[in-house]
Amino acid sequence: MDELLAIVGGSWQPLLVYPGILTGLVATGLMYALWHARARNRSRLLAHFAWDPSAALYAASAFLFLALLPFPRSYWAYPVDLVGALLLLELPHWLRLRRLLWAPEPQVRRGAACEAGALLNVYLLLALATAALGQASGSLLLPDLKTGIQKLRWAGLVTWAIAIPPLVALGPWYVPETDGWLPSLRRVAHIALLVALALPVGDRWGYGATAIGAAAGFGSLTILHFVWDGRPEPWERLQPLIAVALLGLLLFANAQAWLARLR
Amino acid sequence: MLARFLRVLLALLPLAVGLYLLRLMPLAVLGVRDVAGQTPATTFRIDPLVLSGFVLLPLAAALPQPSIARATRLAVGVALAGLALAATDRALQLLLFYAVTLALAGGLGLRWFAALGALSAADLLPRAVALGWLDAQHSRSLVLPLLILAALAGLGCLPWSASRGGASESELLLRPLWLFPLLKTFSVAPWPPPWPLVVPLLGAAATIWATLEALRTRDTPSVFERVLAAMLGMALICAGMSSAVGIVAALWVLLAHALLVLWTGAGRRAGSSLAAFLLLFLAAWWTVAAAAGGAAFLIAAGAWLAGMAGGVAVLLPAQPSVAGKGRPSGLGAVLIGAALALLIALFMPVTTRFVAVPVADQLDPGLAPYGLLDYWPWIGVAALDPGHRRAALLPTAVLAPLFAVTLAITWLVLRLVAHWMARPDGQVTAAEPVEVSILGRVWWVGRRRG
Repeated sequence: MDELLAIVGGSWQPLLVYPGILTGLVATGLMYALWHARARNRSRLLAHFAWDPSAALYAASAFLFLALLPFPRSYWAYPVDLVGALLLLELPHWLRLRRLLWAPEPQVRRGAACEAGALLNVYLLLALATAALGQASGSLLLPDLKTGIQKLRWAGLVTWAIAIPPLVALGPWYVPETDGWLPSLRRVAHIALLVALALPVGDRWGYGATAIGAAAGFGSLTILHFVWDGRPEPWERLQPLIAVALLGLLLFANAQAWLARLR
Repeated sequence: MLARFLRVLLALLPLAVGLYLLRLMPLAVLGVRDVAGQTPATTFRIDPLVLSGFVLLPLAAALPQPSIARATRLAVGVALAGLALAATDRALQLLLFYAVTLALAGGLGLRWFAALGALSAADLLPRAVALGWLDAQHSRSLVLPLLILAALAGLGCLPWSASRGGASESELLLRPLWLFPLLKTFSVAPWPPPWPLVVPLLGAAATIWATLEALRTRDTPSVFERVLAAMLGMALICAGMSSAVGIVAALWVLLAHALLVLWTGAGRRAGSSLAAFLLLFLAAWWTVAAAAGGAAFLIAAGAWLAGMAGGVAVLLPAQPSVAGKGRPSGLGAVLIGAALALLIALFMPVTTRFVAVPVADQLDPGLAPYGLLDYWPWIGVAALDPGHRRAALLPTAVLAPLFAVTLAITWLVLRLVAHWMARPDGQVTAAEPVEVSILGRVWWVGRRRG
């Protein structure tokens, strides 16, 4: 019990300042301002801030997720693993999508169905990328995922990165009807996860590493969001190929270990 | 009134007895140490595995039945199943399984009889042919594959449709029973080489297939039947990992399964989807931990995918006629889900320590070091790899207060912000259920049936 109290008492800095609530709010505000600078229905978007208990649940999960990420100069004695962390982001989002599927406006319902389909589609790639990251490092704990066999790790990270646009509804997958500040917060959290996993281990670069990584991640995805106006179908047709390639790589990397276990 | 009281009493009686017997756990632990390696002299023996079965089996069956006759039959069936777990003689165990079948006749489907056939063959073969039941030469024996087949059929993992496989209610409630004969084999000797690899793979394939069927199915009872089968497939993966964390994980998956059965009334009502999603996550996390401890990350990823896709199948409105039951029911559902999450978060390490770890210790003679367990009573639980490095960690007791703090701050900030902003014009009102084509573009799930 003492240890629990010590952990909770000592975690105010990661939870409230970096990389938790304050950093998340600033990043979400920046992304929101950048993406909706030319939006005509700004008042409607701002109306999303209206009081709603489920919005508080959604935002709190995303902030806690951000606080748990293994950024430089952020340390947890008992770090959470990737599976537990992803639940914090995905469960509130699915609850929100389900509510949108019952919205009175037909275009919102259609948009939510589109987003749900794209999300479910990409989960297979996320699962394979998780397997690659875990196989590379031998562990699913967030800080450990930054270490291990580099080739396999980068195969996993690249797959995760190319799964990001449909995952967070960017570019061709963007649905204006279902957008709001909560999906923006989820975008920030997903990009932050990728950046945190891609950064080198240790605190040598300090906060600068986080700033550079975040700028690269946000910048490239913002450019992609505004420049890529193609259709999503060609990319979705590539998904099975990527999945099969990564599965083959994983089976090849696993074969030795499994053969050893058979004997 | 009296009839209703009796029905509830009959439904809860086996569970109450099971929970009361749980106080024998310290004695059972000592008993296992005393008779290690000896043939038990008594007809029935109570060990940690049996005690955990005494709680897990009646928990899933603690549903009030429509009539007193059915409630009595179910209570007798559960009691006989508990006795079958405790029987030391294999022939007596088989007889008790037949007695369960008789007591519940009419409520059992094809899966049950297929599993019973496989179990009968596994028990009778060593008597007919000169085969060791599970000894040094058991790699050539047919007994273990038959027990695995019994588990696969009985747990509902085989992809039979409801019309052929039968999702009869009594069978649905007693499905976890079929994992226990398989778990018992660990108390004798380790599984021979191909099976620790083949069983998790079979379990993963069955789990993913059941989840895909749940996504493709349209009516609520079938969705829940397939999701429950997927959870039991996860339990089979955990058991197949044949490690300490695998055994503990299998028991946790069975507990999550029993709670989901209770919560959804064996698939008859949608219940709170948040609670259902959380229970699925609990099962998926333990499966991931068991697989990660054994460095089988592909299987871990499969379990995560099955957990997420199963959760989505539970959350989405199923079909227009029944979708009204699955409608978001507001704050009440969220509160129930949150209470469940909090209970599990705070008491998971303690329960693991006092109920699940003795079972893993009892089965230690048959377990491999690929996956160890670590727990801290007020922090959480972790799966370790053979080198004692953490492979998966869920610090539930830490996350709960941190989440409460974050939620309180967010709540406050949002209330303040909302005070300055206008409310949206369009309030969400009761809408007609809509047919949504979510799966149209999901290539790995396939088309919806019907």
